[in-house]
Amino acid sequence: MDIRDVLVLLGRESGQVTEATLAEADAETFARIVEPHLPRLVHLAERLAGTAYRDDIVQEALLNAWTRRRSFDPRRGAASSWLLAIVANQARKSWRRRMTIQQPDVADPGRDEEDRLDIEDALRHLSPRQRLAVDCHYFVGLSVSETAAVMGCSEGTVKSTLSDARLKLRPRLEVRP
Amino acid sequence: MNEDGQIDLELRVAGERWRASRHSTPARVDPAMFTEKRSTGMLERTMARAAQVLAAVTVVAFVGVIFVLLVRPGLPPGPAATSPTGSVGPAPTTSPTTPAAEATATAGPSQSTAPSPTPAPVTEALRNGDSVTARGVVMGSDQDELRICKPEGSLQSGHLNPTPPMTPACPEEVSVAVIGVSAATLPGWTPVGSGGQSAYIDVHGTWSGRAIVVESAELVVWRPTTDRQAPCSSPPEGWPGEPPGSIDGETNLRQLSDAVAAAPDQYIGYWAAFVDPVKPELGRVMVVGTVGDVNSAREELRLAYPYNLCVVAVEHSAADLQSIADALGPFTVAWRPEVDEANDTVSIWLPYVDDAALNRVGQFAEAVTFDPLVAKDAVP
Repeated sequence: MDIRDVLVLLGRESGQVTEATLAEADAETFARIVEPHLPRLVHLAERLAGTAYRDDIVQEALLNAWTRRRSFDPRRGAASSWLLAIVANQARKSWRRRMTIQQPDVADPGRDEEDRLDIEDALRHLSPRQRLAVDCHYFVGLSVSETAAVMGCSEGTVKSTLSDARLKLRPRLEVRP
Repeated sequence: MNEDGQIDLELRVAGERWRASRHSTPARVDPAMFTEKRSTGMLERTMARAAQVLAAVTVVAFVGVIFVLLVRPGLPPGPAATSPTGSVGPAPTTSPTTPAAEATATAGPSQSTAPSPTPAPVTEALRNGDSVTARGVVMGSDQDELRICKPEGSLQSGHLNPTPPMTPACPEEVSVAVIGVSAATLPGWTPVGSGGQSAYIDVHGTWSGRAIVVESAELVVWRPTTDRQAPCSSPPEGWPGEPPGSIDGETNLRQLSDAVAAAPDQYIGYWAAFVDPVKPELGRVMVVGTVGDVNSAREELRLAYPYNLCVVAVEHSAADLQSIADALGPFTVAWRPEVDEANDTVSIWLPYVDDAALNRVGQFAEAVTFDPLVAKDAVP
């Protein structure tokens, strides 16, 4: 018996709720599938739109995900990527709605911390795409594939963009001993 | 450490600290929010429900604010960076990885079959008396309990009504107790409320069932995840170069991505590496792992990506690893199986490896590596 046979047997016998069932999930199951991803969804919303808006954004995104759950295709990617992309889209909509009021607050607490300011200041010199990649990968802690889902590009582009961002940040971040 | 690695390190540190400084992350999703008719008052009602749920959850209140106050950002705490307030162990030592040394070790013949270095698999459960090390933040109090956990967002859940600073504490499911040490002697310990929190530290000690009997503790010297060296040496005609930073380049990357993704039974995936990690300006290489014939795969993929490309042989396909990750699921805060294509494995984060974890991995052990909070020390 090789590994694939074992997997087939496990799938038959476990009856486990998996992300593959998300499209057909009832509310309770949907909530259980979503919960493990919640911290990162919240962090993404906060990084992209600021603390004050993150809860509303995540909530709206989850409602959108629920109503669009039948469009989720596990063959096209993990549920986490799908949810993250929806949150990112919701954050963009939110930002567009209020951009005449204020800029997104991506660096709210700890502004008095010198080194944090160094990094936040350096990040402002990145292009929007580079900044988004850095925010997603380093600050929200998303994988490359998840960052690609948020950015709507290939994983290779994310890797290149992150590399370019690091190169661009190099002269601005003093290399300390 | 090369400069790219240093920037990578600084961003990772900044990111970890940013995540640790977040608070009020809800821990539960109320299913009723999906079935209730949407109305103008729905948001407020749902938030009120969230507040009730959150109040019932064991949380680390104000962890973020506390963390920011305790740990001066910037340089990761290291021997030259900060002075610990009372270390119970020897002075911090540092021996960051040397990318050049790793690169030499992994450099192979042209279009070699060597994948990137793979972490040593954990095959044993922790036993009483094992020498162990845990890396993270200790929270709690001498009177109650001290626990160590990894400072990240999933540790925090919140409260919608601000309260005075409470004693920070690590959620039990993602932490382990540390005993035999006075909190005030831990590096970077700062009192908060009736307890406090250490800096980001390594705790060394002896495993005693479900706790670490502390022998020493020291500030962490961060070791960055450096960029990898491409496991292929330069082709005889030289590397063809990177794709242009234009729509054409994006198209090529997409084609590579699509070609790899279209054959999950054939490829493990792809990742970026450098011709020389010490000199990133020499160029990047996209590395693809295949369970099939390397030469055939290279010829096929070159059509999609006629730039710096390295194809290596791997043990598992993406489909294999994803199936294993799925079978080992579900993904929870205390059990996080994730495909690690560059290391040809499914990596599982968990607090510590016990017999139950080994049994759960079972027949997939050869394809799984553990990334535990508490790790058994290597025998010299």
